[in-house]
Amino acid sequence: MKYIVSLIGILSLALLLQHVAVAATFRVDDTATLLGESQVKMRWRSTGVNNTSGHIVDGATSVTIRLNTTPWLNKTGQIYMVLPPQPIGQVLVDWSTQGKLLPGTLISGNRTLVYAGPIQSPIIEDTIHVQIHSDGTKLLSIHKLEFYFEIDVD
Amino acid sequence: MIIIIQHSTRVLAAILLLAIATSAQAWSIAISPGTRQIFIQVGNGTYTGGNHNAGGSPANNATVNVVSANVPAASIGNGSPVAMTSNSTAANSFLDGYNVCNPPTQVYIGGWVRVPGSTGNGVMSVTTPANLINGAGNTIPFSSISWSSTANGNATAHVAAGTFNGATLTLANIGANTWVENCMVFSYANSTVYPSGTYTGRAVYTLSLP
Repeated sequence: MKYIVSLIGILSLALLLQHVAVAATFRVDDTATLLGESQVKMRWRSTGVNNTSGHIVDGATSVTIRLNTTPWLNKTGQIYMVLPPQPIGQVLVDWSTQGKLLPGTLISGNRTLVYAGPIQSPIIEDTIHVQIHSDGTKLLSIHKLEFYFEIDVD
Repeated sequence: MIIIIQHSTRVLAAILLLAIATSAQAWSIAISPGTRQIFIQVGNGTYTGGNHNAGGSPANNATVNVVSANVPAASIGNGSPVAMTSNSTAANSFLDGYNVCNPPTQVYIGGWVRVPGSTGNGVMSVTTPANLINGAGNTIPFSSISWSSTANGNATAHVAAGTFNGATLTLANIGANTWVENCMVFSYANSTVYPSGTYTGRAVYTLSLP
């Protein structure tokens, strides 16, 4: 009987540890991030002014991303860029990088991996060239896209 | 053992909450809407960099096309309309290169409106003076000239057929983010005898976005 109780305890502890591994997601301090320009002027894509095509507007800017990874130094994790769902409909963002972060594509309401591996420095910095695409028929006034980063720690 | 596990969970929850509360950050980019844009083409027009659907852009074309008719002396004022022809060479749509019109008989007319949002109509209109006039000062009412409207591959006329009225006439309402195009075929009514001569007048087509 004592053995069974102990076994249950071990299983429960194992479940807890598994839970800890899955739940270890944290927002990353990116307050040192610098924007190339505070406002991006979106321009109509040339194609699509008829009834059947989409009405996409495009914009681009550069952003110097600075992630404070001090809390996870010498640990391994995956860092994601996140863009919450937007009231102006689906927003597609794609970017290229200088190499510290991964290039990628992000659709609002989702997150995309930008770093995976050991955290070896307290700051991860990269300048990314961001291209933004949205439905111009829903973008009626200036709209703020609020991005953030989160890390899954192994 | 179970009691210990529950305690650990509480501690973990507290740590997680603390972590979230102290490190939540976000950076933002403000994006501004696309600008309001309109384009109109009557007769010859210009696009640079290819057709619209291939990334081309509209450009200004200063050409003022001429539509004309010669009325034979034997049939002046007999009430039989006289077909007019033009010096327009605009055959293909700049939207996608489709052969819309058959110049010189047909004169291309088209335009598009682009606005942020899905509302806001462009208004296409034409303004004419009361009369065409010749060198001697004789006049023919502009209302003597009419047009039909058609297009290859498009059974429905977006730009209505009509008759000049010597003032401003609305031709079409162009919906937001829409391209319309047609081909006009002009004719002179020839219902009245006028002094001989060459009568001229200018019709000015306008697209406005209130």
